[in-house]
Amino acid sequence: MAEYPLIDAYLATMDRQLSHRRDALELREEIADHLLESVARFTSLGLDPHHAQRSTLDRFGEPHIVAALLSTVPTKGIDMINALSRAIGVLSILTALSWVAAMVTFPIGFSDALIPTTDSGAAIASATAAAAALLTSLTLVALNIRTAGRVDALTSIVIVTGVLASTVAGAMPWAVPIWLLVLAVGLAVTFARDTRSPLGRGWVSIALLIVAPLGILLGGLALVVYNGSGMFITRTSQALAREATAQLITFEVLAALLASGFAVIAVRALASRSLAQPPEAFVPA
Amino acid sequence: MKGESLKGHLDLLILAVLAEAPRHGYAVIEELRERSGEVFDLGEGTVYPVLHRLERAGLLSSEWGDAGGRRRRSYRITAAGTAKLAVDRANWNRFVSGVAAVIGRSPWPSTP
Repeated sequence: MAEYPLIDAYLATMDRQLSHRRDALELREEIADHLLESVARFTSLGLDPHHAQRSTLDRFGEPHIVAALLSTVPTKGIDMINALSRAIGVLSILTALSWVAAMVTFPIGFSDALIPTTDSGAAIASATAAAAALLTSLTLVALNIRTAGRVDALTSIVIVTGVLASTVAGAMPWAVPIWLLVLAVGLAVTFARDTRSPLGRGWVSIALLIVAPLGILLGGLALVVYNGSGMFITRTSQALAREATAQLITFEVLAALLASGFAVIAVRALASRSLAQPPEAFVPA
Repeated sequence: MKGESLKGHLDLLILAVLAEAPRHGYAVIEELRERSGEVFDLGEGTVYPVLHRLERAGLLSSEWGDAGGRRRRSYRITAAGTAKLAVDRANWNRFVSGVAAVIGRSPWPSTP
């Protein structure tokens, strides 16, 4: 289209204004078709190419105004984003609640630090832990799909870690360090790619990308080193109590971190849905 | 008449133009200009957001075709759009009759 430099320049400006939209290419093609048809019309009426372009652009309007008006109509993909945001919002609420429940049930099922464990307590703690692992995995997968717009390679990794963590948590819920460590991989992958998104920005990313996985990793390593050293064989009742207390505190802190992080994500996800709606003032209805 | 004066009526006008035949954006604008006796002087770029919004609302559908080597998007009114047009047209006629009655002029357009 080198024969119409003014149209080219106009379209280049529109490209910059609309580059954030998924349908930018379609919008460009539609506008280009309009402008070129208009130029042809003015040329057929006797205008030279330069004046035909000038008249065309005068009639079409300032690019930033047209782009602003076009931006008030969401892209077609925004429906999927809205649906995913709603799903993420609901899943995050459930995930946060499941971690709060895990905080409450861990002492009665998996730790003798506060009260002696019972069979029924262990069953409740197991069910809660498995639910927390499953809900966290589902939320992470939804977050990845929202970020990538599809199931890409990183999303596949998160799906695999989610299935693994949920399976282990379902079959061996008492093996908390194992399934929590697998879950930490999914957390790190998800929030490493999501640091700039409206959902995962700020301290949520720091908490769920760095602190939680690192805490899980260090806690798991400490347990492996402790058991590998053989110290647990000769431990006294006092050492046993200290170990149980350390495990309980570690789990409670990590669960609190996860609960608060997903609660914030829930609020942001549900708020982002309203941001995706076109502002009424710009809709020429 | 500038686009600002048409604000609020553009949906009805576009649906009416597309009720007769599918058209692409430029043809819709040309048709509006011709039918109005060149009274409607729209910023042409402002028509596309309306077309897109009507499509998202399910009142229009669009499809891409080829026009002399360029891709061209054409719009077609849907059944929902036709129903909306009928309602809006009736409302408009009532409104015009009411205004005309108040200001003491004959209703326009006059209906038998």
